[in-house]
Amino acid sequence: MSESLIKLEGVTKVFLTDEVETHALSGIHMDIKKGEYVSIAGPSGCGKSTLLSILGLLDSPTDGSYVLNGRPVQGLSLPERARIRNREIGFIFQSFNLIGDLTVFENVELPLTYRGMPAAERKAAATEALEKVGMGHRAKHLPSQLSGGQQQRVAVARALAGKPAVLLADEPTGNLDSKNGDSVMQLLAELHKGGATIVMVTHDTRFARHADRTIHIFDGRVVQEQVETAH
Amino acid sequence: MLSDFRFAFRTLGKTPGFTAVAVITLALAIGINSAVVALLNGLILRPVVPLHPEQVVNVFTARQDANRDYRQFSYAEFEALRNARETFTEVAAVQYSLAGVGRDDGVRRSFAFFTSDNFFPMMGVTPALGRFYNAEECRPNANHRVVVTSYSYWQRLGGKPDFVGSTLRVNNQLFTVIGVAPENFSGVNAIISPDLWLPLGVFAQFAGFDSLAMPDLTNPKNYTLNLTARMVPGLTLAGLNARLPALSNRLTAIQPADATGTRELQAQVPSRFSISTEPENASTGFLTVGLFSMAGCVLLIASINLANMLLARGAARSKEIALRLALGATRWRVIRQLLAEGLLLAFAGGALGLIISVWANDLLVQSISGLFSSMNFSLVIHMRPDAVVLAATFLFCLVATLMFSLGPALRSSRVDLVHDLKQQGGEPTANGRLNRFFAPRHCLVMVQIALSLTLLFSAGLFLRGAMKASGLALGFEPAGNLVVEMDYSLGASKPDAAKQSLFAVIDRARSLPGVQSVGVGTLLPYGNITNTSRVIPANAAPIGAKVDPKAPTPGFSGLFAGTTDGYFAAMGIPLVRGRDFTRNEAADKAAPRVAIVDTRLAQQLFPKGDALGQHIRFTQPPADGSPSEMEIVGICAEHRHDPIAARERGRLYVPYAQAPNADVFVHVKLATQDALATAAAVNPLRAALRSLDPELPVLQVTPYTNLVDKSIGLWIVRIGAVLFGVFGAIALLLAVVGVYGVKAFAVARRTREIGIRMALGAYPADVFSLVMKQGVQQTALAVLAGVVLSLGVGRLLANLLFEVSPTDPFAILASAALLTVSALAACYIPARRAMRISPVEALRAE
Repeated sequence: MSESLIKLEGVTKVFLTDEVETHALSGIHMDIKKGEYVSIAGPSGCGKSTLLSILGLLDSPTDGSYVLNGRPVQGLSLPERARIRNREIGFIFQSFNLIGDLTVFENVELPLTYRGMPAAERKAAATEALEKVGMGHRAKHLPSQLSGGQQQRVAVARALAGKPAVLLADEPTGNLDSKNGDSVMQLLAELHKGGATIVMVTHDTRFARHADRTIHIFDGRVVQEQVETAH
Repeated sequence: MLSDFRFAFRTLGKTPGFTAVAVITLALAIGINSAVVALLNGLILRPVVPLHPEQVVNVFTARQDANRDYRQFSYAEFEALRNARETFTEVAAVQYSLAGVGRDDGVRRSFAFFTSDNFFPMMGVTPALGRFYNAEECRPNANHRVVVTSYSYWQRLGGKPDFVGSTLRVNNQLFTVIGVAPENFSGVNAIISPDLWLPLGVFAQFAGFDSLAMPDLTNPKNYTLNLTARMVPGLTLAGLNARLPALSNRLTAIQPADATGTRELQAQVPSRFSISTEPENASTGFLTVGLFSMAGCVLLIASINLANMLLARGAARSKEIALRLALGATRWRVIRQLLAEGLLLAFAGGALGLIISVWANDLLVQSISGLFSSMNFSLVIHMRPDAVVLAATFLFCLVATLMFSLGPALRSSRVDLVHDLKQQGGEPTANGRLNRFFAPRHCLVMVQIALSLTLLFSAGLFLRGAMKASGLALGFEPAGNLVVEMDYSLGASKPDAAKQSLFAVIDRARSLPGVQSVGVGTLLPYGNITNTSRVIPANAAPIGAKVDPKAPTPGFSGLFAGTTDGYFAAMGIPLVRGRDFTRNEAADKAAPRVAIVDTRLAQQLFPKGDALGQHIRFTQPPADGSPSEMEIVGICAEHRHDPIAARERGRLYVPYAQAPNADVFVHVKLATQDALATAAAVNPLRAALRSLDPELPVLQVTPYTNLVDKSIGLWIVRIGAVLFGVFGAIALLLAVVGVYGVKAFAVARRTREIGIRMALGAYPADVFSLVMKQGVQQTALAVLAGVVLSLGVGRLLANLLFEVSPTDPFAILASAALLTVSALAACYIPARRAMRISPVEALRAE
């Protein structure tokens, strides 16, 4: 747990809309170790989703540095960022974001196709990931044939399949009822126990407590870091 | 309802880009349909005969044998039929001619119709000014010099109210204008009208130059009149046909004693396009169906475009529609609102389309006028929007509205209230890849591509035909050949004086520097006029001795011309055997009778022997009683007379003195074939001729290449290519707009999916190929369907094509390639745009 996986220094994000400057993030410093389970908490509009987008290389910081797995990534080209997203990062979204036209299996193997992985390897990796989340028996179904909890499990499998360095989860229980929410949180906890690094955005303190550490953000600034003592 | 239109107006005004594209798309489609209606209305639908046109027929007489050769009627035959009151209320005689018309300084050659006095009353017209001629003025050889002009001719001369009573110089004689025909009156023809209407009584004064035409109408062997008749009320064409054998017998009874062969009468609804002496078999049905099919195709393609645009618009407005329904609007109320928007678009497109149709038809009329400019016809074709065109345009607007608007309106109004009120944009509920591939909008665009390919392929076939027609081996050499057209009937010259003048012209032209050879012909290849004559070997049995009246008439028909010495050299037509005519043969009617035939006619006349030195004769001896038999002294190579003739005929040439004609073409062959040098030689040649005789009746001095280029046959092939090309180009444009619209819409709808894929690590190239792949697959499927459809349409067009196979591989490949490249180019822009989608923005759209 001592090796740094994500290191942000002085990261700011400014959005320009017409003539209005909106500071979504201001001077964020953050250090996340490999194997750590971190939750980012804060009220709506505090900048936590923006922070997650920057961590996931979906967006670039306006200022500051971002080192992922020992490599500065804030100034990379679009294809290079795509390559890192594909290999180093696994996304879990609030609304699952499965592609409706693809089967469960195809959704899970999709990031692997972008990696150029041979079909046999893809099949093995996707099957393993689906088994890990308990959805192997639903591989041929379409997302619309699954419940919300099942869809989110598939989304987790998709994030896991490529064996990324970090899982980024954006309000993973936001669209689920409490039972399914608990189930997904349980799944993340199990993954963490297996060694996965997880960064989860949530505004629900119940779920934030599942993490090792909670970073509280308010108005684009880190206002508090809290180490959880009990899960 | 009014509030629907008010709201529609506001809604469309808020999306000016959408509205502009929709209106322009509809304007092109409705405009082209209106143009076709205006064209067909002017050519086919509009009655030419003002009074009961269904009662009017043209009457023909055919020889009762296998050849069915037609001739015109004698005056005696005309009178006999005119007296058949139990069958015809009126029978009118018409003959066509060219006359030199001049008033004051200018002289021009004009088309003139000689008619009997009952022609105008039979047609049911009254003069716009003055009166029509009477029975006494039409009596053969009465020679009352009176003339009725066309309305347009009167207008061209200034349209003065005191025009009636003034004089016109016609063929160098003064004629008194007694009346003006009504506007647009053209007899039974829908396209052209003569400038002058002359009484039959003056016919003799115009028929004197040509030895083969007899001036005296009372001569029972002078078969020169065309007959148009009005059937008695209630009599149908079928009923008339039953009565014609009895009328034929009446005519047989009044024939001269030495008349050969029995004849039969035939009747036909007058051709709107031809003044032929034979019945015309050309049906306008195919033209009508063909043009409407093409135009309808364009309207369908445009409607598909609009339907797709409205589907997309409906999808984008689903929340608004759901809100209306939630507030208590009925489904019909919503559909009505959406139809009002469609109707408004259609009417705006229709109004703009009418302007486009007027402009397009003006261009067509200009093209036809240019074609006929050297032929001295007045065009009467009426292609301005009238009630029929306006009604049709209104109908097109309604049809288009139903086609493009109803489907999307029904679909858009079938909403899931809960889902649509919640939806924040983004991808719809997924139904699987196959359903997405065959989504209605994609199916529509594939149909559009297939139809566009068919129109493009048709355009390709006609374009190939036009190229082939332009590149035909003519068999003569027009380059470096200056044509001087002269018409001695326009001046005061008598035939002998004209002949002397003509040979003086030849000698003067030959003396000019840079001139290789000079010759004269009375028939101009590619010159839009045809003259044929029938000949048989001189030793063949007399025609009248045939035992079987149904057996074919012996002999062969050939294109017939009188020529002078030097003609073949000047035309660049090789003499493969024998010799050209001598100056003596060309100039002296009393010289031994000789002829030159081409290899085709030589082979037809003497299939087993050598034609050179053989004797032949006309099947119809010359009317002036001159000898019919002649010796073949030369055989020339075959050469074309018409670019689109399905089967070229053989050729028969006789010395000019044996077949003198007032209208002659002097061919001046220069030492150069360079187009600029040839054009530069026009003025010196004209000046040389003027210095020879300032009164020479020169109509034009033109490089032959220009005349070949203006031939009607080439024009028909080219106008076909232009028409289909316009349809094809519009279809291609609409297809590109359609593909682009659908792809852009698809990308917009898949923005979130693309964002997800990018978040998962899709490279920009992956996103590009995601969009393009579907475009490529759909284009390939549509092109395949289009190729199959095109091959079917090609078979339907086969009869209209000029030396092009209806499955022409070049046309198929070129049109498929053009459409594929265009469709993929239309996909390319949305695909590039998809690459630039921000995943953060895309995911935020959830």
